Amino acid sequence: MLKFVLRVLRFSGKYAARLKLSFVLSFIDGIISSVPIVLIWQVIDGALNDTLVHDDILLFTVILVLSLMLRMVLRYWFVLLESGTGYELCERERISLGDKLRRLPMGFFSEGNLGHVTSVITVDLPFIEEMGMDALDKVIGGFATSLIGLIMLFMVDWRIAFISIAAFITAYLLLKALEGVSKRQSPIRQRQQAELVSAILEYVQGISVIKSFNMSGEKAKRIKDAIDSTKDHAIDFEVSLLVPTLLYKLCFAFGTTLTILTAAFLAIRGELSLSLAIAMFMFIFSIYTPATGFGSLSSQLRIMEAGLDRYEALKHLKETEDSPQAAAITSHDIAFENVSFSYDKDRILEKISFIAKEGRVTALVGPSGGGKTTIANLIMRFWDVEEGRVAIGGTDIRQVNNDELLSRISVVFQDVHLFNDTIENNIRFGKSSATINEIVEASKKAKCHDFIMALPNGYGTIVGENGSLLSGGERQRISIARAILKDAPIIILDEATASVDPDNEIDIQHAIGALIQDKTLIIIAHRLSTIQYADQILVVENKHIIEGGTHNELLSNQGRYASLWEKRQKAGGWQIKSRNV
Amino acid sequence: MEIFKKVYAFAEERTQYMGKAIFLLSMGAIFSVIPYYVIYRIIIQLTSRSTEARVYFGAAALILISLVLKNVATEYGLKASHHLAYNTLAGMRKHTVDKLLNMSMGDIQQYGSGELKKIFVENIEAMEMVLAHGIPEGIGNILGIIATLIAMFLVDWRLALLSLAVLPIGMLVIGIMGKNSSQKLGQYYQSSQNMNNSIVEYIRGMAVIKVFTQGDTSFAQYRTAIREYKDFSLDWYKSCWKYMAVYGVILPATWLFVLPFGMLFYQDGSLELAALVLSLLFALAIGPMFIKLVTFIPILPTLTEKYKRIEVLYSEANMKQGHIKGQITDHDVIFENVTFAYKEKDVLKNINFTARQGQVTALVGESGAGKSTVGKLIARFWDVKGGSIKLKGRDIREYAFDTLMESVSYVAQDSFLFDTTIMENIRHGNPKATDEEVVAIAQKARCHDFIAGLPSGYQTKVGEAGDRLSGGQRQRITIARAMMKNSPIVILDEATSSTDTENEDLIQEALNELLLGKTVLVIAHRLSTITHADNILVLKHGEIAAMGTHEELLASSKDYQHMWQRYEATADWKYQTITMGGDAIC
Repeated sequence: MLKFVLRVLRFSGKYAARLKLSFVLSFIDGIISSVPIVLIWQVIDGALNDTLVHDDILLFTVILVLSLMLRMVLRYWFVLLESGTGYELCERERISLGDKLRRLPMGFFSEGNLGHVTSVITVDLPFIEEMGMDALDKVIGGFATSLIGLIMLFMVDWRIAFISIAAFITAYLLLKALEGVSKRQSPIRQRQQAELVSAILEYVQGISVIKSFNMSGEKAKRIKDAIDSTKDHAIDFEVSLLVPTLLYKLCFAFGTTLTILTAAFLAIRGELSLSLAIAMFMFIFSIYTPATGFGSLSSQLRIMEAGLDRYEALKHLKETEDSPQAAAITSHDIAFENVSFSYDKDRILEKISFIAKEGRVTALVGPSGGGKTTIANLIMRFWDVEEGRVAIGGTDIRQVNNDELLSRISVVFQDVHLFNDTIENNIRFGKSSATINEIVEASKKAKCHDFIMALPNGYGTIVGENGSLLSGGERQRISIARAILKDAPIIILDEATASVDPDNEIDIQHAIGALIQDKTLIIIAHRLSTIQYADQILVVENKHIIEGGTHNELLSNQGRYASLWEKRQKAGGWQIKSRNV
Repeated sequence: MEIFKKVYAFAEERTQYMGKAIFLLSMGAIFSVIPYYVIYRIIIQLTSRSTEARVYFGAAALILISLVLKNVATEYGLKASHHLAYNTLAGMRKHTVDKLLNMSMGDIQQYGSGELKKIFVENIEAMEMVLAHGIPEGIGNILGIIATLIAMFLVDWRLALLSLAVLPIGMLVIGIMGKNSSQKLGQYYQSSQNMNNSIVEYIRGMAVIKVFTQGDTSFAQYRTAIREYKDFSLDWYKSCWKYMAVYGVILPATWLFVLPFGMLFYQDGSLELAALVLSLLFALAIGPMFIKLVTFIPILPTLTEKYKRIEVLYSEANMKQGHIKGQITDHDVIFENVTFAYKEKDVLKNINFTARQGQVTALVGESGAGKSTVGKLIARFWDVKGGSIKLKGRDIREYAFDTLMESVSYVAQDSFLFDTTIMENIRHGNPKATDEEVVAIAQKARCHDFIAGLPSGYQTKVGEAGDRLSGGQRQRITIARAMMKNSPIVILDEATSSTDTENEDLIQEALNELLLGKTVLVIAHRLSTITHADNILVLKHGEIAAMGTHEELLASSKDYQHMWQRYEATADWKYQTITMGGDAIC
């Protein structure tokens, strides 16, 4: 628990001083909040000795009201320091993480990572922001109250204080045990949760298959079993905490009882004034209250620590090394020189060498998983090569400033991302200084001007979250317009995804045709028919380039490409039929 | 209260757990009051100078027992309420499972699998805190307040009332806070949502941002959204914190009135010292409960809000099922005057045609013309708005859904496979099939060779195979599965079929095996594949513009001619960066 406090202090950096000041305020607040019990003691004392006078009522009331007002001021100041700091802290962290993200290699932004990062910033950080300071408050406040209580007990009688010390120590040990139980249970719970999520995903993704194959009985049973088992585990978890929680709370029940008994006997033997003994009876109930709450706090703290872990892991990711003295790119021949690359310890490329000439078409073909996409990604420094080098115009791309490198390349993306902004601004993303005329020009080339004009707000139409108000083909063409506007000398194109809209394929083809005019084109090809005129076709298979050349050269080679082409010719105009004709 | 009824209705054995929880939590509340009374007795003993140790030991034992029982009853009461809460969550999830089975596929696709997963997991999970902690602890707290108040009234009704005096003050402050900050609260929510959207967009768009080297601009926007959020949230919180500091201190300060008035009553002789002490004890005990009461207030609206998101799905219409069961023996599909509208927008108008058994009927048309809808209506993704789709002379809605599905296969764009063995995946087509039959079908579907080549063969789990299965291979497994099902009517969405060069010929062979002798309806996107179809329907703006064979349509239909020209241009298209004729490069 104190470890958590220290961690938050470390995390808060320059705000730590403000947090520490808030701890001091919390301590003072703790002292003032024991004013009433002292007054009550005085009242009882006065009553027992018959010294209570009418004016005392007024005096005591004034003291009570003053102490309350003082506490209000302290509380406000305290919350301002603590929760206020929480918000500023999270602002700082969000901004610094955002800055960090844009320095990460492109390869980091895969589908899985995107979800993870998003959830860290939008779920974990807010949780820390909302609950972190509250938890801190409870921990610090609890410790302060308990400590002040103990001091006051010592002032009354060391024997009574000793009972509470024993109660606190036993409770602390049980709290450790409690944390141990929930720590042991939490991986089980996580596993269970993961199983539930996977069963649910299978169910919702496969629902159409389930329905059309009449599998509802079997699949509904599987998912319901997973639901039941999640429920059982959740209940088991609570049950496993029940006995330790109970024992933890019983420590304070014993402490309370023993204190009352001891105070009574001390009073009988005259070692404690009667009024103090009675004040003890009252005080003992409030001294344990904050510590009792620690039992349920520990699970909250663990969630927060897990969130902090995830967050800090992100902060420690390696950034792309950028070279500040930018070597200039003077021409656009792309050269792979003995390039080897592994991903997650799997070799993907092994000593690849080739040159894609400026202004020419280089097509990569081969089976999926053979390494085509990786080659394209390495040009953009999604990752850095392991051995060898990738050079553009003779300069190793690692020596080039990152922005400079990317300003030379346009990609027709796998998954087209549009921003929730106007069409105009989405296209302008390609070139910030573009005039509306340039934007319209690019749109016409990309075959999207007509459908844009048919929209009620034309270029001012907001495209919705991730362009959801447009069709796949429309999004695609807008992204091509954006790339046309950027006018980068190198184009990288993945053909598999370049036709998300088969009904309007010809429009997309024309758009791409306009984009690649006079460019250096690298294309990951799936349909051999489209790349017959490529200046260079590279067949990538099993980590290597197994052959390369023009269409005609490769055909006369009688190698892998020739056999693919032959198959393709056979299937070329394939037909759907329901009879053997 | 309506919301409790609604939500708890999902829990199995709810009356048992609810009764148990309330009983035990009440017992906990009652036992928590007893020690104070015992202390009162002790004080009376002490002030009467009694020195009999047995009395004090007896009292201490009573206190200990009460405290132990209080804790035991409360913890077990919370356990029962956890049971109730988790049963509720599980019940809601099971209800979601059944709901999806009862809804039509079209409505389900409206949500998308991401959204459905969110309802299933996150939205239902979000209710856990409220159900498992908020409500039981809140109720325990209210019971505690009631028990303590009753005891206080028994001791001295004046002080009991005075201990309540902090409540109206606290509530007044909370009320003023609500009034003064509600406008800022709106801004706060708005800016919080803005910030979340900006973050999501910034992260999802990062690849694009980097490629277009717009890092500085985008980061500036991201930073602005975050700053605004901080400013608005601090603005709101600061306006609240003043009031929170006031009621946070006032509400538990029950002795503020009890102590001075207690002194007054004591001095005028209407209250004994022991009773004053007891009242003060109760006042000290009840104070913290008042603060907890404040945290309980927003629970109902929170629960209502969270449930609302789930309820939207629950209130979707169920698909009406027919009653006719058994095999359908005639497999011509007849559309009679079918009209269909989606969200008030007409999609299909007066569609009339017959898809004959043993023939290929192709649907062509521009995107949005309604061709996919025609196919989906047969599989009852949606139901027609007017007219009728008939099978063997009866509307398809008259058949039990199972029966209809036995006759119809919809081979869709995505080739979804379950994460089990390949053997099981194919067997899903016909659960009674033997291993030998599965292998035989796999051979026909041209997937036996690659399956046999996998390390564990047919026992390979699809998930484990992961990327090793190419798109084309997955597709052939789904074709094998459909073949296994062997339904006489096949609807094929062909958008899928040609991204995988290596397998294209095999997919074609597999498909032709599947379609042999069936009533085939193809939703065609590339005209080349359906030139041999027996009947081609040209759809335009939701209506059949022309109908006939390829040759007939080429001769008679302007629309078809236009589509064919576009198709041919697509097929001839090749990548070239320099504007020269193809011959010049070759």
